[in-house]
Amino acid sequence: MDPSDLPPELRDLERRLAARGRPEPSADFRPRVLAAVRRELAAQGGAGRLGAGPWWRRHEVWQYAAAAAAGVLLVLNLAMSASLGDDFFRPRAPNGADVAQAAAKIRELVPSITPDEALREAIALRAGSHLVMAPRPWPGFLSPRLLRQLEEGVPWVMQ
Amino acid sequence: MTGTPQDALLEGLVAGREEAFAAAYDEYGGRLFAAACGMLGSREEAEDAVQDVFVGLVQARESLRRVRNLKAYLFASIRYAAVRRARRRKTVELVADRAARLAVGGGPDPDVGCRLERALRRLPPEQRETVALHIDGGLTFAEIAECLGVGLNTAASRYRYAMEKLREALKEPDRGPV
Repeated sequence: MDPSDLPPELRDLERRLAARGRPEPSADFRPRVLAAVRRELAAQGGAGRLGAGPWWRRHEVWQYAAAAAAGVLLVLNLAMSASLGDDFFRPRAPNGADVAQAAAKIRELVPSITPDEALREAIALRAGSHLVMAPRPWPGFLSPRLLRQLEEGVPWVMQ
Repeated sequence: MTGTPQDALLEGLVAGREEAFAAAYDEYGGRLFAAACGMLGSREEAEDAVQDVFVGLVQARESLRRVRNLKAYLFASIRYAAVRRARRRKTVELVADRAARLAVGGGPDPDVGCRLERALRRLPPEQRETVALHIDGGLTFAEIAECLGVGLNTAASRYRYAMEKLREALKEPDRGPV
């Protein structure tokens, strides 16, 4: 809609609205605003100096601090991973040739086992070879029966 | 960066030069005040809103680097300040009082002036602010659209609906102060 399309009656109303005169601020308003501006500039550490002011009010300081903290966290994380010996590149999936070889070995040792069972056992062995040792959890954590078994001399559980 | 006078003014504001704030006040202060009066209906609140805008300019001066149209930015700021003040307003002033204090009485019939003010108060806020920005602030519809974040047609339509409502309100018998 083109605003200049106002009909004559509305144009007349518009003229009357404009004729009300624009209200003017009080005489002391300009110095009051500029004094407030001056105070705010002074609070920022002085007019004319961009970025001046108390260091904690400068956002670039906080940007730098956040970037530095992120860097430190990354380095700490990598250092802890390295010290714990995590190997992120170790293949997790069982190697098909290894599993087949292990299945064949199982069948040699236990001829009565079926090929499917030998393969299942080989896969289970392979999976178990990646288990890590874990310390014994606190007693209340385990069921009384398992706890008794542990107390019979099993110092570590496989998880 | 220095190209147009507005660019130079923006540069001065970003650098925190006091004379740039004085120049911005001289250029836009009166119209910002008039627009705030139109939105708030109170001289005191309008003055406070304008002061808020200029103090806010100092506080956010580094972000002014991204401002392309200082006029639209300032009028958007005064609108925001007016809305914020209107929300926390505790007392309702009489329109007749507002009309008197705003030194309206520009028409031949002071009663019509008061009725016009009352009718303006009854407009929906988005229409009232469009009228205030156009009539009191002197903004074009394109500038109002940019300031309010609406389309050009929306700004023009709001203005036209407002004018139609004002015309109807003036035809009706006077309903007294709101």
